[in-house]
Amino acid sequence: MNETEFRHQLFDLAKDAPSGSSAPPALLRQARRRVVLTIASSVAIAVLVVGMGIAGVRALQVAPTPADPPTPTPTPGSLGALAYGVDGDIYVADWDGSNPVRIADGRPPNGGPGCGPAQYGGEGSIWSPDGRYLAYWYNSCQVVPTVMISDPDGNLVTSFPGEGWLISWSPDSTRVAVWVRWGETIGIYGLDGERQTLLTLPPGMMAPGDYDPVWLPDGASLMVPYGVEIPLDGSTPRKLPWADAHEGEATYSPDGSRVAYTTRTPLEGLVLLRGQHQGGSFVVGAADGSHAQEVFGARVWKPVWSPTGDRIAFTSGNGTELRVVDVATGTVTLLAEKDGSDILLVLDFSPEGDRILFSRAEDQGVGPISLWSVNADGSGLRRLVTGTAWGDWLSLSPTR
Amino acid sequence: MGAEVETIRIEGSLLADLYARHADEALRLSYLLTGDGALAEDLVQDAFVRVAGRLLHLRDPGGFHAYLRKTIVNLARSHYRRRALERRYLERQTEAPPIDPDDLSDRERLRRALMALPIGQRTAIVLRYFEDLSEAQTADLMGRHPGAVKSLVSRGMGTLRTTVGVDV
Repeated sequence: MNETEFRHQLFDLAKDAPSGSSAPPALLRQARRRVVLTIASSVAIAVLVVGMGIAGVRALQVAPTPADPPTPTPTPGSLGALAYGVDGDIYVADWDGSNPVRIADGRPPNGGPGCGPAQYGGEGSIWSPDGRYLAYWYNSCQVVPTVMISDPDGNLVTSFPGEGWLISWSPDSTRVAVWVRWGETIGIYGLDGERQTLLTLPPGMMAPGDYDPVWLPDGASLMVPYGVEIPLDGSTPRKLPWADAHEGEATYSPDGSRVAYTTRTPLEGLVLLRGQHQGGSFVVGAADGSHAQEVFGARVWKPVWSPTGDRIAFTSGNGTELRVVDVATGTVTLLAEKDGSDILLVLDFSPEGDRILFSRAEDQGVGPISLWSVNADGSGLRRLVTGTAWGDWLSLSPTR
Repeated sequence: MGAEVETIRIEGSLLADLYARHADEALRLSYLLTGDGALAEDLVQDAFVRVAGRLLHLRDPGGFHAYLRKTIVNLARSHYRRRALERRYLERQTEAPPIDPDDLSDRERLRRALMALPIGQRTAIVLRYFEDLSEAQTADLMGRHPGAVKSLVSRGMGTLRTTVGVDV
């Protein structure tokens, strides 16, 4: 397909867009209300500015506060701090979101005409496994975003350019992996900001989609979907044994001996069969691909293995049901259920594996977003932070 | 106060006129960025409301289209706020109906390949090849460096070359 044909295809595709021949009355009502609000708020701001000037009051920087009041439940002993990003800033708080401290402050636009506001953000494991550092993104009007590594007080340790969303910490906390060129090359960076290794992913190996590399538990390889291992020694990337004929997401047990993965097809039907795309399986097996066992007979999202190795949390029902499976018995427990338009995602476990951190995005991800925690037995459901869909508990677990 | 009421009434009528003139184009852009008709409508509606809030301060009414386009791009980019949410949303959209990849039409294959691109690459490609903007205009609209736009387009087209045989 040449450029002209490609443009024609795009125009043809765009014909599927809804038609907007006349303005919806609701839109006009909303727009008029907006204009009224603009006028009203302009007046209000002017009054406020004058008032503040007179009183000599300095504007307070309000940090996000926990949405629910603290409950008297005892704090798990070694459960550490919660790191998260809200409104372009990075915060470190107590495990339940209380006492937030802003450690990175997103600043106003500074890159010239057309540049968006500079902001910090994090997705994935923000904390290094040893709890000494945090890794997050800084986006301003640069050619590529910047990876920032700081201590828990926000003091910058190092920074370097990178791409993608997830910054992946090595299990020994000494390196991070990020895309150098998305989908093509991955850089391994030390805490001095120097790139130690540049890994090239052969074309067509990674699943199509917006994915980032993660470390395998032994720290000697990275993995990209679906189950492609990229050795750090530069040897040829390969499909992991369990990944043959599967497609989905995976999580390893803390010792690396077992793997849990999702498939789009039932376990017995590894050949893709018509009409079974909406089924799928959640499978636990040995890392070498043997002893694979279906533990949940439907498609699931983003399984996370507990640091204690005995539980795996995941969401099912297109992200509306939060569940946990007892690995030893295979018993699956429903912990929380939301309506059909919500998206729930498991983010993390407490070090003892007894509490789960997850996010809730309402209205297909467009509505309010928040972080929640629930005990592994389904009790103690509580909202921790509003305004973000991603957070990371400091686990201080040697196996994480 | 009377003057303000008059301004609002005039802008209500102006907005209806602007909507009739720009909605189809805005909806097509929004649809190519999101891949979903209902979501495209929501984003365009939101964009019109936001732009309406600024009509009082719009120095160049002729620039309405550019202003609206920029608002739609920003709304599409910030819609999911997190890559994970975008991915899940797209998975929900592509759950049904089950179709064998060999049975897909070229345009459906292109739609899926386009939606699988990271949002930055998808936006840059749509603005360059659908909206027919220059690299500099695309960079300005996306709030990125022109070099970054060139890179986004190049990599996105590289992926489309592999997946659907686009040779640009």
